[in-house]
Amino acid sequence: MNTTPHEDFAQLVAPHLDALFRAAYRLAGNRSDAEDLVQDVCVRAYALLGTLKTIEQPKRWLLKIQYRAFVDGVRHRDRSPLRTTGEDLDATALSEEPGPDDVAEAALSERRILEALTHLEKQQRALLALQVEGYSLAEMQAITDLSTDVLKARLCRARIRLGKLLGAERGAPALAMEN
Amino acid sequence: MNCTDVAAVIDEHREVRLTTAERCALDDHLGGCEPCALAWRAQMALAALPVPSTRASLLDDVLRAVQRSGTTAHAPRRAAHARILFAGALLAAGAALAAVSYVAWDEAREDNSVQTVPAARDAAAPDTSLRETSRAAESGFASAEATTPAVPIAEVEPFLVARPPPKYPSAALERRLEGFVQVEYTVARNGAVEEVKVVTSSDAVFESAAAEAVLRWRYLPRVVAGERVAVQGVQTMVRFQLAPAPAEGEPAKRDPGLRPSDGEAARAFLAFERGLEVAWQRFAADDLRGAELELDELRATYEVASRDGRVWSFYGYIFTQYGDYGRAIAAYENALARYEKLPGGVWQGEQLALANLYFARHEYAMALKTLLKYRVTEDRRSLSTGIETLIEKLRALGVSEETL
Repeated sequence: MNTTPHEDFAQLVAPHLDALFRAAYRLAGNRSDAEDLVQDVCVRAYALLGTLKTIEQPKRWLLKIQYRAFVDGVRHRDRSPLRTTGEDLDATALSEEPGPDDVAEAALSERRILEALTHLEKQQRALLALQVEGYSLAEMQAITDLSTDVLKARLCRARIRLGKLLGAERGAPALAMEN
Repeated sequence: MNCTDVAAVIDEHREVRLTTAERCALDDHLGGCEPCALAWRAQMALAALPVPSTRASLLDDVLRAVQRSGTTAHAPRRAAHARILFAGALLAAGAALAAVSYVAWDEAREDNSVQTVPAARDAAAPDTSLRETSRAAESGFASAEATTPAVPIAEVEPFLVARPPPKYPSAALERRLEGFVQVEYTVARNGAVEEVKVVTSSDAVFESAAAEAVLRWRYLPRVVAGERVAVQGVQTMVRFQLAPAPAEGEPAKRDPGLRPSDGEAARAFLAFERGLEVAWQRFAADDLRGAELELDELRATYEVASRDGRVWSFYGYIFTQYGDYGRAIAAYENALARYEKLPGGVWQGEQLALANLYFARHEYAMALKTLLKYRVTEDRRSLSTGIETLIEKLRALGVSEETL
């Protein structure tokens, strides 16, 4: 029986949605923008279904589209993925019967990290997102087209900058020390 | 343990697999090295950041978004407006140079008086199929009929896919000096520019800027008898011209072929250009499929990519190499449709490539129509030999302007 392009697409993309969403969440900082980003990437990928069908590493290819869409800031939709608000925080992962104070404390530190992330360059944020999602340097090289040496250097700078931002957040005021 | 080791532990995801001794060494280093301590803290914070689970209905939402977008599978997204961007014609020098902002140069003029020398055939990797088919192309066209299979294309003209502009020398800017440099160079088998020489120039001040720019140009090389060959003695005029300063209160005039200068679009254009360079790198490393995938990705990511004739020329060249003439024809038609909208027409050889494809498929009338539609101007002499040859072949088959 012949399948429709939609069915083909669903079959090809479904196994990678989780990876796309996890990386997108780390880029966008909230569920709704992350899902927007994933949908945006999928609309782009659907236009190239022929390629998607023949490609050996569809996940890497989709992540590459997502990386570029985020880093280059060229999006087909209007919403910015860089929006971090308390209301959007999704604390579903914090589930070990925490008391109200624990929830508040965890949400606070989570918000602090997300807030610090918004002060990074988009590429720094994207590189950290991929790295912490467990991608190897070789995979990241394929996704970002950066050489290993450049990747290592940028990851290192991004982490130090984030560390400074987190320190500054903790000790408020002044994000000035980051430079 | 030193700073490099700490970064390697993180980069290679070895944080949780350290031995006790390694962990102690790490802690020692972090205690005395502030940058590493900051990096480590950042990494731990990121790792601890909870990521919610993916909603089960996300796939349905994705499919609805695809449906809503009206995107068609396989077909490229068409841009809503028709602004074309091409590295030829006119390009802006640094925006900071205010009123003196144009660098312009002629279309590449390849001097065919230095004939292409086919590179020595590589005995280690003979491509007999292409060689044989090239013989068929040479001898078999007169008896070919429309129903026979396509004759493989064995000759392809080179295309420029990237032509970053030269820097306007500051010494010349200060003097508001305009000028030109005629350079000669070799287009290597992989399409890179080599052995650049200055033939003549209006002023030495422009020479190094022109030579440096030309070295960064990227070609898809000429194909002769089915093999990529180097082309020596290619000559090009690089012109340096200043834009007339706009009258007071009047905004600077912009050429329709200029790259965008506003923030996001300009960034996207630069990123697209970098992607084009990556596609070319893959091509130069003989990875045609890799180059094609890179172009696919560029089109998926940047709307400007589908509007840029160079992308379609690149596809046309790759598909011709695959022997997939149907797609090659569609790609070159796309390229020409985009170039046609630019002032002066900036096609470099796509019309000949397209006509050759039609010819190979025995669609002779289409071959001739293509040549007539995209006529060659005086400054593109290098093409005229190929065009004349094809017109002669068509005439021998009884297809001429009169019979159309």
